[in-house]
Amino acid sequence: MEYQSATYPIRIQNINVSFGNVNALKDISLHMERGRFYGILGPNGSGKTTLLRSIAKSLKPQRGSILVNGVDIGKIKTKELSRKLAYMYQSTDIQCDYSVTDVVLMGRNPYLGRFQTEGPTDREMAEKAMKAANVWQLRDRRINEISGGERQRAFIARALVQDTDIVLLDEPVSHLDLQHQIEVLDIARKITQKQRTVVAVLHDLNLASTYCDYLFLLKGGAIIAQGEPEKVLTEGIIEEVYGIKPYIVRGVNNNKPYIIPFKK
Amino acid sequence: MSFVDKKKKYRLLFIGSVLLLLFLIVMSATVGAANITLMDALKIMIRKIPFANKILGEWRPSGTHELIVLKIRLPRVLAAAVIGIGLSAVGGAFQGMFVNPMADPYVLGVSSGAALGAAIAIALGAEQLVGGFGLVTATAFVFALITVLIVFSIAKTGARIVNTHLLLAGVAVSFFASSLISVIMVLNRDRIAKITYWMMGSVAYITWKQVLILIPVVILGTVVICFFARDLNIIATGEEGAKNLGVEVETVKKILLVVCSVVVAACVSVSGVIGFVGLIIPHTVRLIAGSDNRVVLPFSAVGGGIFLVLCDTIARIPTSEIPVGVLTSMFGAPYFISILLRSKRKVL
Repeated sequence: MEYQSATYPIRIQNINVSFGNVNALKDISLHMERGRFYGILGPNGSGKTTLLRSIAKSLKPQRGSILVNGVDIGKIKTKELSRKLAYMYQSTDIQCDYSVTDVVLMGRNPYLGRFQTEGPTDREMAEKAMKAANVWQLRDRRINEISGGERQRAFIARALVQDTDIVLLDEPVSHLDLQHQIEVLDIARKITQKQRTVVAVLHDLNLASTYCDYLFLLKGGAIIAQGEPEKVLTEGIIEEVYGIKPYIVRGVNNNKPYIIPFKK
Repeated sequence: MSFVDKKKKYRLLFIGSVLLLLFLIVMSATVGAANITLMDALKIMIRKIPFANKILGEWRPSGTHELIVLKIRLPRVLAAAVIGIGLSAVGGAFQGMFVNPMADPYVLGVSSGAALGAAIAIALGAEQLVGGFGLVTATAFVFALITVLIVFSIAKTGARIVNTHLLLAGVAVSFFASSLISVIMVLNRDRIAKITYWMMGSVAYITWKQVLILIPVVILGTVVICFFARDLNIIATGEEGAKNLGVEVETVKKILLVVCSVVVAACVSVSGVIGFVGLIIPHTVRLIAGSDNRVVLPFSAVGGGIFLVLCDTIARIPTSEIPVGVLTSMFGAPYFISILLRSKRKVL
């Protein structure tokens, strides 16, 4: 598919991010298309979360620019950006005893004026999102009294209810058991059918291989490889990035590569 | 249950508690050392209400009774209500904003700053001059705001205000101001009693003029604070996520810090340091109704008003009056402990 550059939902041009003397992202350029599921992979400290936070405008690159739908995010107001881009960050502990419904309804904040409260439409959308994220049965529970995995799904529902074209997920399945990992990634996959762009930081190469259309493999703040899973998840590249010798099974799992890690 | 489901119930409860507060204000003005009957006191107040005074016909109160009810009791009762409202609303907002259960209206050093200002004014003999008590109040107010400004400028890192820096700067500046107050007291031994009494917190000597300035400042400030309840809720689930939900975290914090500081400075400079109200009332509301700031903030405000009016009424009963700031802790602490013991829910 060919796109005019202005219509890329996300386009990153030569960004550099450093924390003190550490270069977290080195001259990264990339673009992402509508309706696709992108995976950002790489070892710990490779800059995955930094990349995601830069796109979410949570931190400002020292150099370079990030365009959302062709507009520099520096020029987009916080509230306006929150209608274009949802960001589920690695959830921290919440001490407040809000109900799950109230937390999910926070995702409607971008659409509410200061003197407004959530209306019936907002509630319907929240119900839909909660059902999609499989937390509808938890709607009256308190957010500080449910399990980590349940909270993760509640935050996914909150991101869904934001109704944005771009959804960023930072390790969306990291605290989940197998069943819920699959469930959450199925939801993410479904979002892309509505011409939305999903970008997820993942650790599990096999889940990334199964679910993502396109992968970015990071190491030391630079993109080492990018492309379809078949092209990126090869013995050579994985060994270069992770320093392990993998055994790759092909021919199962819809012909996507399946990685069995070995010792060094 | 979501907040939206319970909104109607909360609205009714809120109107009910506001009516209770107004009723208590009127009833409190009928209580006191002077021997005025309940009916006479009520009639004196009704006489001042346009149209309603017709029902009293030709009834006339004694001059001293009218003076006591209208010039002495009513302003102080109103002041107690308004100060209770302001301190509790700010306490609730600070606890929500800092996500810290220990936060109270004085964490940023407003009280110590105000006390320092008052101590200086008293030491210089300001209250014996013309303008009298107003000069102490004005100095306290100015010092309170200066103190907060110093705390802000210490805590500011670039465009951001970091919560921990703010709280620590508040503590440090508070201690510094307190040590200066001690120095002033040591150097002016004859004024120690007056300075100490001021710091205990009392609404006994409040004038109509002060009340009429205090009411709009506090009520307006409280309304503004309540309109930021949803933002505070979202901020409490993580500042980074809040930005992505369209909350201008830094702007919200700055607006609230300024509004809260002015409200607290206005309260403290008039009454001295009335402790505990701003800490326990929001917590009490939170323990009963949960941590949703859309509930906590408005109900804390009204609850604080009710609590301080009750405390002040009790403060007036003994022949030698007890400063209300002492009573708030004396009654508040055991009450709060009992709620804590009964409640299994988390404090914040």
